[in-house]
Amino acid sequence: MEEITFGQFVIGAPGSGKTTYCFAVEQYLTAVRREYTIINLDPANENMPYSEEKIGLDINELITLEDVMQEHKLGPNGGLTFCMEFLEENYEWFEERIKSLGNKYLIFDLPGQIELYTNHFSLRNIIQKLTKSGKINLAAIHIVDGICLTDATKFISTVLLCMNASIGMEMPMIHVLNKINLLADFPRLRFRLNDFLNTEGLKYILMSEENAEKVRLERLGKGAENEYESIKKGFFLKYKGLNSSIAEIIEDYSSVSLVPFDLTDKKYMAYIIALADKATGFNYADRYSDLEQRLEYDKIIEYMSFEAADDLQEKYLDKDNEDIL
Amino acid sequence: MESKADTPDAEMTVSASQSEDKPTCIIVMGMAGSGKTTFVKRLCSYLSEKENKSYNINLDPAVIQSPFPAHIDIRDSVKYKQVMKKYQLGPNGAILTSLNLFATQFDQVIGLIEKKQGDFKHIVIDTPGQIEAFSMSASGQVITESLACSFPTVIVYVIDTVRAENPNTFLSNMLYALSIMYKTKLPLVCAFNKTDILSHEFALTWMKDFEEFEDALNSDKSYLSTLSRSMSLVLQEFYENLNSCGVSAMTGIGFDSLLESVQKGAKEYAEIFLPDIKQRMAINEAQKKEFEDKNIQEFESDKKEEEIEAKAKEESDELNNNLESMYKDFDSLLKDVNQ
Repeated sequence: MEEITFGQFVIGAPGSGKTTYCFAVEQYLTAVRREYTIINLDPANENMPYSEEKIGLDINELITLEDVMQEHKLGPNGGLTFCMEFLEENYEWFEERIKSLGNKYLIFDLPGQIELYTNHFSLRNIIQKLTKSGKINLAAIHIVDGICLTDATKFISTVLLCMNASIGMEMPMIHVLNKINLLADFPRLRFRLNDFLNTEGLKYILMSEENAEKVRLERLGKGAENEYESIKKGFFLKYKGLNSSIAEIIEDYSSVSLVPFDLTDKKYMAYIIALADKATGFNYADRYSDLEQRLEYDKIIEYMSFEAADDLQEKYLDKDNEDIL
Repeated sequence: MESKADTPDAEMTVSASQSEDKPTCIIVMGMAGSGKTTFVKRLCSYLSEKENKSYNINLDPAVIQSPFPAHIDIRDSVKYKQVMKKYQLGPNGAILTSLNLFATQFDQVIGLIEKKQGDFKHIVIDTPGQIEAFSMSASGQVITESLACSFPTVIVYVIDTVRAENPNTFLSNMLYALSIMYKTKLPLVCAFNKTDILSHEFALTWMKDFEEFEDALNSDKSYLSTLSRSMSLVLQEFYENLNSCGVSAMTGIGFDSLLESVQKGAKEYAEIFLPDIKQRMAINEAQKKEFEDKNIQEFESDKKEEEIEAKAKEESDELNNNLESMYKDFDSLLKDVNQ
């Protein structure tokens, strides 16, 4: 009987840290002695850090962005969608190659452009075909830049993007809030990390911003320019209803829950792997190496889901005597 | 601690009536294939027929031929292909870097526009084809905020109506428009393009009658075959406030109503976004400074190509080496991971 193959596919906008994340996964799996293969489906991936012999398939074997752009006179975006469409057309070749890689854990590095998950269906079709026909279980990992935490509306914008990716690929995703460790270099955030990650917290944040806005507008109204007396609303107040309905979404869709991540701390990598394994059922597949079995993934998930946000808050986000952003 | 932006400051106050004299800035965004560039071309010629010529700016560094007459073109100061070569970047990286370079000089652009602002009623901005390069990047943010702090600014989000007939794609586009609105905090107009091929009536129906949209989704057998109540609420709230119109960049129909929507947006800007301007200006100044600090060192120095290449490689190698050494030893991994 054919055994199931497991893996994860990773998407993320350019600059989100997607490829570095994949490299970190590679290091982790090497350390715990889990056999893996890297599959690069991002034709625009520059300077890939992966070890050559670990790359099981590279889309550049089939088609390169440069060739496409030149031959068809396309810009980088048009070229990218063309590459995806071409890959879809050659799906049989793709599936055969994947199958030939055996049962190793697959790590797919996918391109991050949003069009590929919204207006175009090639990538979604490819992944869906693979998972439906090929006895392949993949977890979806979406890397986003933690810089969105510096601003409530930027954060909401990011939540919407996460929703969009999830809907586009038609599957639940683990949304990784990356580069939290880099926020140590920023002024103190207005709100605690924990507040961003659940509905009640997010509602609290929105309410605070509304109140702050009211205060600002009142002050303006008292100033020299009395045109502002008639202006009762700012952005937060005008979109009050919209804001709170978006806050509700976080709880309604577990697919939009964000997992905070610190690349420099191994616990966080273990956490994501544990979550991915749970999502795919790898944890029941009886394939953990002797080493990896010693890691208590269930406990890690339990611990981290409670402690991760506070842990990061203390490590990077709490500051003394700093100006608030 | 009170931030500077909270204290009333007569000099920094921008009055609502003042903004009426200023040209309206239209930032055009859209995904690849939406017809954005044709749209911009049509918009420019429409405006020049209707009133004075608009002041046009091209921010797409990778476009081969600019289809509209641009007063300022990013390609004049930043050579995309050279950037790719000099910094050893792929196409994505080159777009971002080109924008970064341009953003550090953007105050000059604002200055140029302000000098001539009596001559035109609209500023039209074409953004890079790769939408995230602008909508989600630091440079895109700096540029957008600089414009929004100086002129009434409206985002026009161009949608491929033909593709949007698929309810999943429609939903995606609406969510993306929403995320742009939150990111920029500016009034947004949805322009359903290509109505010469397909009317956007279905979109209007879906926005007015939510059950019709859910029916369409159901028949599509998609992952979200039933939208949760909260998702439905989000969209309904969004539609209530949304300015949208149907256009054809090809034939020119619909541009009267587009201009009306833009004017509505400009009014919204004055009523809702303008009062917050002082705060935004203060934040923008801080962001610009940080952005410049990060980028100007790189670009102003006359580093040799090899040096730059070596430095970039060094930085990424350092990160990767750190990761490698982090995971070298299983026992320390075990210790760190198991609490």
